[in-house]
Amino acid sequence: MKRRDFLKTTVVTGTAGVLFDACAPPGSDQIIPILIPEEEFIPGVEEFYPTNCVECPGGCGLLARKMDGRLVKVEGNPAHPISRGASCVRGQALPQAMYHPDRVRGPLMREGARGAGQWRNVSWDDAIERLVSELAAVQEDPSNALAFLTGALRGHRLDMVRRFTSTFEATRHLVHEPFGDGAVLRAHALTTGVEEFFAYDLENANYLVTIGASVLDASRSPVRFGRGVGHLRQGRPGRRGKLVAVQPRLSTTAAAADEWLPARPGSEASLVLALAHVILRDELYDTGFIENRTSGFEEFRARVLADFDPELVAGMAGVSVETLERVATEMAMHGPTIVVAGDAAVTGPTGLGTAVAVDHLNALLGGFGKKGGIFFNQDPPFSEWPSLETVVPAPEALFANLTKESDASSGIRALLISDTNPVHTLPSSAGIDGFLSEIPFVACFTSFVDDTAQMADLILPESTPFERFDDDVPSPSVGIPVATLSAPMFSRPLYDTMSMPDVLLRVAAGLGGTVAEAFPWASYEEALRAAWSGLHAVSRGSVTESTERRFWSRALAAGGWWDEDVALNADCLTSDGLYRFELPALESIGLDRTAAGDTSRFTLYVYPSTAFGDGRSAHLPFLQELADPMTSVRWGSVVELNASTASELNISDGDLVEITSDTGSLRVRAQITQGLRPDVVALSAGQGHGEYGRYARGRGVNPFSLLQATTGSDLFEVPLQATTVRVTRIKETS
Amino acid sequence: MPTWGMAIDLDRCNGCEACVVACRTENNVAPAGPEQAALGRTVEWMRVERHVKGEFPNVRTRFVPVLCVHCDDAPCVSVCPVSATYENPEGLNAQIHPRCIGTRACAQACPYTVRYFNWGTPKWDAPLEQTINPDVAVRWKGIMEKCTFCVQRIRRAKDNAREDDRPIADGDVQPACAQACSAEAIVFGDLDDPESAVSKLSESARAERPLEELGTGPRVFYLKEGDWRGSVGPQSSD
Amino acid sequence: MEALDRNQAIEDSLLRPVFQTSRKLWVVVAMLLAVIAYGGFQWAHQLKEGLIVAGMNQPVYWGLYLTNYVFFIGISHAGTLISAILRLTDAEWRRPITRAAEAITVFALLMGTSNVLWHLGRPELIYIPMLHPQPLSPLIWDVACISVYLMGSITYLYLPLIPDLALLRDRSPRLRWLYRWLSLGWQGTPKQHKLLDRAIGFMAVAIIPIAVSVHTVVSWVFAMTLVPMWHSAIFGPYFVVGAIFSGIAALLIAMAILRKAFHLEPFFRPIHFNNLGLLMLTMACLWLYFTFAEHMTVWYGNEPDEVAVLTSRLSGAFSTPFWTMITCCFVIPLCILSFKRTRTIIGTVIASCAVLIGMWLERFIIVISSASYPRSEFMHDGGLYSPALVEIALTAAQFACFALLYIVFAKLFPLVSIWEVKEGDQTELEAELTGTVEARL
Repeated sequence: MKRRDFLKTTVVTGTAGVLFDACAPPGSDQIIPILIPEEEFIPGVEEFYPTNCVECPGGCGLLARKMDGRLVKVEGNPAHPISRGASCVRGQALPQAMYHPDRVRGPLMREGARGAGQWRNVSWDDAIERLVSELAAVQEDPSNALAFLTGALRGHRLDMVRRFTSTFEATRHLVHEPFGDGAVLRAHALTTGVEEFFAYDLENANYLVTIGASVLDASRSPVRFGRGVGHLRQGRPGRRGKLVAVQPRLSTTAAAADEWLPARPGSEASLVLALAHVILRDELYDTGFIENRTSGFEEFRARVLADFDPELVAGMAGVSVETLERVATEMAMHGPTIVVAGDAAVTGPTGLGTAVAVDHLNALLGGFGKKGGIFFNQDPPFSEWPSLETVVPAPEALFANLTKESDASSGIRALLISDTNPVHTLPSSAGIDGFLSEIPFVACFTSFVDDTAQMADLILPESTPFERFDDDVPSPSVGIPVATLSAPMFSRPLYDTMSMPDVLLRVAAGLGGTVAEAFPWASYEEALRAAWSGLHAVSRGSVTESTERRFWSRALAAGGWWDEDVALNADCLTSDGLYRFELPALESIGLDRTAAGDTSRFTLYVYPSTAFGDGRSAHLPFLQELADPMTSVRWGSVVELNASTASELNISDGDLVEITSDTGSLRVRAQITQGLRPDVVALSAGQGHGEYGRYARGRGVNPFSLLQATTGSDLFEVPLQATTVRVTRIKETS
Repeated sequence: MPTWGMAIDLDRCNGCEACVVACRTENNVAPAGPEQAALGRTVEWMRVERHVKGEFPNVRTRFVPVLCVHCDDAPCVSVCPVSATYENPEGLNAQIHPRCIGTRACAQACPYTVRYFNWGTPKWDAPLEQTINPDVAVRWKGIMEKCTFCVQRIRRAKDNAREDDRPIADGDVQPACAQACSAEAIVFGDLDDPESAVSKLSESARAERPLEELGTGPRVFYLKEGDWRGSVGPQSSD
Repeated sequence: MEALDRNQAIEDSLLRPVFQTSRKLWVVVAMLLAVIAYGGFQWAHQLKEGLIVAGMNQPVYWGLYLTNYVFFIGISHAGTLISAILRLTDAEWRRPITRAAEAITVFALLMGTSNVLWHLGRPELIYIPMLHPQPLSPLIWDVACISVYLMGSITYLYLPLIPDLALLRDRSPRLRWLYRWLSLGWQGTPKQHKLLDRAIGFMAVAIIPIAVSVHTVVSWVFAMTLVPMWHSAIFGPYFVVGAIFSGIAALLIAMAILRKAFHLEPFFRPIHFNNLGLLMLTMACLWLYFTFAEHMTVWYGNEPDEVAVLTSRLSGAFSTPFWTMITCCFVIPLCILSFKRTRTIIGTVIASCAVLIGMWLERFIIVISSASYPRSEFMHDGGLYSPALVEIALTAAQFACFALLYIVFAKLFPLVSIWEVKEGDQTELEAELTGTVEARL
């Protein structure tokens, strides 16, 4: 729908959910929602309510269409800077999440053994009471720690979690986001001092190279990238940009690209530096940027010219010298050029090196701060919540924790889990099962009983984004401050559910003392509103109003606040304000790292699924029914094998095969493809849930069960292309 | 009176399939389920086909969103024994569900294979039926269905325009697929209006109408992928 | 005196099957009823669940039901066509076989059109094409032509039956009221004979173009689409040839069975099988000619969409049924029917069985192989079509019902036209036959 229509309908109907100043009861400070109760709908009248999507890190602002008192459709919010009216497969399937037959309808307490799946319905009072008592036990004994395990949260949901954990003395914040590209964040921090995803001005770029990141299907921000690449391709008459994808497998991104470079897994960093070599050798780099805005260039140049000649790298990477030379020259001559890294390429031993190398390549091309280049996120100017004299625990990657020698779960008395599913997305060899079993009390905030919630003692049913107040600061963003805001579109939740921050507030109230004092709000809505008052105070951006009350209602109606007039910037936050050509991180990417080993073994490449991502959308039947864009598989899994590899192994299309790693094995049907390196075997993440509702349960296979958990504390996530496997055909008796 | 048409830019399309699920949700197309999908009974008014050529590593892929092209001279209209499908004055190939007796002759005759049959009664596990869009009829077993160019949205746009006492503007009507597409690959509008975006795209050098040589008169056309020849000099773009 | 005795003998032997029923026949009837009942039960299941229980899918929307439809309509041609042409050319040897042939026509038509009920998504609305026909649709042409053909065939079966109905009226121990009503007061006067001859002669002429139109129009259901290897100019004559071909085969098998079951050896004699066998051989050659032309032009033209279907038939998924079809429709009949030594009753029956199998496969291949490889680069989900239990059950039920209808007919009416046989008489018949055969050879 167009912007004009959106404004018309929301002003007329959507803001039925909010009271304007003129109609507020005198003396009241609260917004009294006058959503038309679901039973009293007007047939045929459609209403649109803004909401934010949490299915992937993209953070699209959405519009939910309500007809006859029901959620019937989801669209992109045309005004939202990330989605601009568009959406993706997972966003489109969201109404099914709302009305899913297997939603948790009320708090559940475990009966029987952990993991047995037997639950008893309890009231919220009982659930809160249980939580309070368990957390009180944590407070009593200093050797007891609280741990909060989440995904990569953002916005004030993250702030609530951090605030809550900080009120406990012994406390930890564990983060598990399997495709979270943590190495990229770390790289950015090392090179620019900005530990956030960059914003890319795709609309003005001419050349886009992705190192490993399936930017158009499932990584990071597919809707924003889809729009940017579409524009790069055909949005400017007379100019057509080029997309190059460096991946071992032909993903939809690589398929849509103009050129696919099937680099050997683990060789990406060397390949990137080989491209840099050409640019350095032929002096095609942006001298102005290098001389004025960077430090450590000379050492970097010397190192790259010495060690990363394309002649040396080509054979190892599996990409010809001509191609490397040509692509490097094109990148330098036909800019503006943007290079992006992500997914499997930034995991494992060479992951950080790859991410750093990509940053350096961007620096060579002078993209930082230029049109068609790279900019940094700008945080919306929220008001701070009342400060506490507590220490907020630094987030620790769960995976890194588990793979350390020491006992990861020691001291944890209570574990709260929200927005993550580690039992599904961690290799069993990482020891997640043992970790959980050591912890006396596990509670899970979730709308569905998934693999992890199955192992909990208490399930706290989370309201869907359509039924709760929430906000989000998308990252990666587009360089301007963007804050998404959503409010309930129904007068009450469909079931007896509560949003996680609201539960924390009630628990805090129940715990009393300093914990309760840290949360001086009656509801999360209040807390949000307090933070958002800062956006009102700056009197700029997409929503400006004279009073805070009007601002809040307008922001709710618009679905958020953003400021398109802010100047973009790429000001590094390093100590000297210069871009740093960081070198130590490149030490780990020696050229011999990816020497061919046992030829009977293949590298297992795990990638996020277009429909399911890391698996969190696998419970939706529309997405299971969807034919995967590259494999055309519905309701299942396949393992992809290169055609020549398959014929060597005597495997035909559709044969049942067994994939065995050092830590696990699974059986799945094979699919022969030309879009894969011969030494690689590819499995999509997302399926193979033990538990996640009737549509996902026991369906397909989970490649995480095969992955090796390599020890080492420099790892952020599970290495997604560092495991080797054997493949054998299984004779079927039929 | 507008003649509705659609342009799909294959250079923009990246195969994400957002259009597929958007269409499904908008038009109440129930999933077939695992067993029936394995038997080839999935109903997908909009589907994305993947045409792959070449051998590793020189693989060329093309994603083609396929939907009813609302032919001007439709093979399905000729063969239907009961006139359950016909071309309406605005160029839409309309399907009249209560008239259909399910011979499936239209499905066999369609050269694009874009007509779908309800082999069984569409099934929604409660309470998923709550997502049903009241603007679109829910079909029953034994009848055909297919893309309608979101006729319910066309109607709504007309109603809105009438209320405002103005003609329908270009861009007022956005079928679900066009609205969802992040790459802005799908453009819908009035082919009779020379100023409309879809009309302008129809004149592109890249435009081609699928199976045009069969004389079906398709009203959906595809814009071929472009070439990249460096940013200096003319590009294959519009 | 002798002639009278012989007439009596003819009457007796031809009426015996009507009046007497062996135990074996009851067993057969019971078995047929069981098969039909199972088919009915499966159809009820399909009515309740929808066509989801059958094997069709996307893109193979048409399956066994349409195959059987074309097959049975095809078989229906033999009857009326053979007896009409043989009547018009005054071939005396036709006399004993005309009614059996005409009965095949009517029952095959009924069974063929019954497939429409199994095939439709909403069979309860089968009246809608009558109320709201779309005149440009080949399916409506089908409805029209088959209706006319059915009525014509029933008429053409009924008219020559009248004198025998009168005979039964006079001689039957039961159902006299039925025969009296049906025989329309036939007394065998010269005036009535003349009227009857005129009527039969008229029908014989009229039924031929109707029959040709029927299978042409059935073929146009396919040929009027743009589907690769359906959209062919020769489908009309190809299907008519195939129809006559399979029809003769069906007639031969029916005759062989009736001959044994009802002791009709004096009437269905080797010479009949020989002549029909020669006719079938001719049709086999004609069929091969059309099949060759069809496939050769596709191969030579090399149009990719059509070649995809052709390849599937020659060497792909449909190669086994295709080459079986060639063997059954041409090779086997050619080997058996070319030589007088093998052109015996058993020989022709074996050849006929092969032809029926081959022709059924031909319909199957035409419908399914083209549907499986549509023009658009459609990506198959479910693999190729595979018939489901309900389709197989209904196919079996149709064959069983056909047989059962035949048996019921045989119990009500003589399967050989008594008055025509008497008219021709044995001796004249033999003279005619030897003369005709010698004249031909």
